[in-house]
Amino acid sequence: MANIGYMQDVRHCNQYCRFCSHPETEYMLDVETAKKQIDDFARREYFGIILTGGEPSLSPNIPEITRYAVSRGLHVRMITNGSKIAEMPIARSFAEAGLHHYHISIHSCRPEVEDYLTGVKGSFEKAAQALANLSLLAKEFPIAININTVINADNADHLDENVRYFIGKFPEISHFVWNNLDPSMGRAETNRDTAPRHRNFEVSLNRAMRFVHASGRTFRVERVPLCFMTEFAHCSTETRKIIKSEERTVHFLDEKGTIRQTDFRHLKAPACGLCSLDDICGGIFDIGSFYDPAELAPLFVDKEAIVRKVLSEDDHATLAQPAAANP
Amino acid sequence: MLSTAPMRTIFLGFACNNHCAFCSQGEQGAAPPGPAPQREGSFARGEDVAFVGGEPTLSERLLSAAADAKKAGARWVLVQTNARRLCYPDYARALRAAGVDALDVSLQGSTPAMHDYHTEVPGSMAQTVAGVRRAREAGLRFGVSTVVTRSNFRHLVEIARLARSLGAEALSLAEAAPYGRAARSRDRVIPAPELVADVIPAVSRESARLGLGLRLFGRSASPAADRFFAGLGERNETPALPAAPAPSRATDEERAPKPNPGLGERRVREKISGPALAAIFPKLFAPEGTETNG
Repeated sequence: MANIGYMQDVRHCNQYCRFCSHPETEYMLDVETAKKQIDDFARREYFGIILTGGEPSLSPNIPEITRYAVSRGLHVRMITNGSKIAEMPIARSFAEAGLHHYHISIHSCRPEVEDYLTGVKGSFEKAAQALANLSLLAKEFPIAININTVINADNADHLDENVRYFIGKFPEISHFVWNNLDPSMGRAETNRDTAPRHRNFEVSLNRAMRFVHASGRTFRVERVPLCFMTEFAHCSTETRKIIKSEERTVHFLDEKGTIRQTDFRHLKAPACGLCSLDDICGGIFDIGSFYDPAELAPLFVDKEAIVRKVLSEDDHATLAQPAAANP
Repeated sequence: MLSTAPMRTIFLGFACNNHCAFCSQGEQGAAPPGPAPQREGSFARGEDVAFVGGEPTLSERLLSAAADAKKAGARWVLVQTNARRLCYPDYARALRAAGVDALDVSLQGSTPAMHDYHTEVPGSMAQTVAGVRRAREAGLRFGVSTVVTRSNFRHLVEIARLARSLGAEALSLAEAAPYGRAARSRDRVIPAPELVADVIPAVSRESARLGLGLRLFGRSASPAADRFFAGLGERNETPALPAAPAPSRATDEERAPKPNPGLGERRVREKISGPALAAIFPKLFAPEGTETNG
């Protein structure tokens, strides 16, 4: 099992994404508390941790937290908008501390769309610079470069264009993550127009998945029901966790505190009861409030083939694949 | 020699014993049978004639109308049907004896679960399959019509294989159109054309390999296939009603927008660490030996 722990290092950010699900609070993780979280993950035999936020690279503690986690045998990743990694000395200091796996959050290859979504002019340029810096550092360190994209109403039509652009420009990218927008908390509740309809991203997501798969790279998709990603059902985060009985723990820097998630099934529509994949599908996150259960259609595909495929893949190898190992 | 004249369709009423999710005739098939419209008129020699519904085998006029057509010299008499009634051998033989040459059989899946989901009638596929077997024994030829939906478009190759194995001579794939019931559940039923287009080459190859005539969305890839298909029949052109709110397993509380979502955001210059974090993560700070969180 590849259980992953999420550590929010800060909750402030230098961007203002329209769909941010973890908007700012006044808390910041200090090294002492971070070590307690790391010790807890190590005790639970987690595979690794993800440093997240807010924008975690704004924390001055990242190198020290990283070194400690590595010393406890944990794989360390960071989800970042790349704005600080765009500064090479900072990127190098992270790499030297042992932070070798980066998920750069970038949602569109169209600069004007990216800047609109993040609320900061120039954010596309900085994310691209971060990718360039990491590609250079990958010649010295075993760095894995991933891209995280939040599926939303403004990029729903060009997810495939995104992957063609980024792979063409940065062939060192090894893995993509698409997270369907989480409208249940944060700014998406205010910016309700940001939530996509599943039908509106179905075609571009499928083309993007096929392109990434054909390139020999890997990907995961979260909060997308399997009837919208049937061909790659084995790449659904929820499906994998359901099949492998995995959990994840998130230490939120707000009143939620620590949440240990062991159930990855969201709500379903009546039609789901007929679907052959019902018991391995996450369904729709926040159904009824933002997302429409009428969009769900039953499938009649072979569930066992998907289960076998999930169980045959080694998440450790896939998730931590360094750039140098990619085609 | 095949006719180039369009096939004449004769409508025998909306009544139907299936309740297909994509039915362009809406709920009219579920209405109590009333007097069926008399639209046959007189038949002409050499005509190709198709009886359509609803489900025309539910009309007691079908046998006599088919016999009339044949007596008048109709060259080809087709019945568009779900074939369920033909699972009774006497009925299949009676259709053939009345002069019916062939059937245009509705088959919506390669498995009973898939087909019965579309027809919303448990056991309907078993009856349809039994029906086409009795039909063949009675000497009737048939093609298979499939309406392409979000739940069956990945299985069109399997449907082609099943159709051929049952003895079908042709397969027609039709678009689920936003009329009738499909209009009310279009998101669940109507597939993205781009994704359907991706699977069509494989269906075409497999149909050719099997020697199965193929008609794609009204266009015939093999002209001999056309005579097995009568089209989608009469639509319910009434403007679609707004989709009824679908019941879900979500509670009303879960559906309701949260009050004042912006209040969750606290933008301050001074950041808090240290003891304040112990209040958020009490179990991490619990004394040694105490049960930790989770």
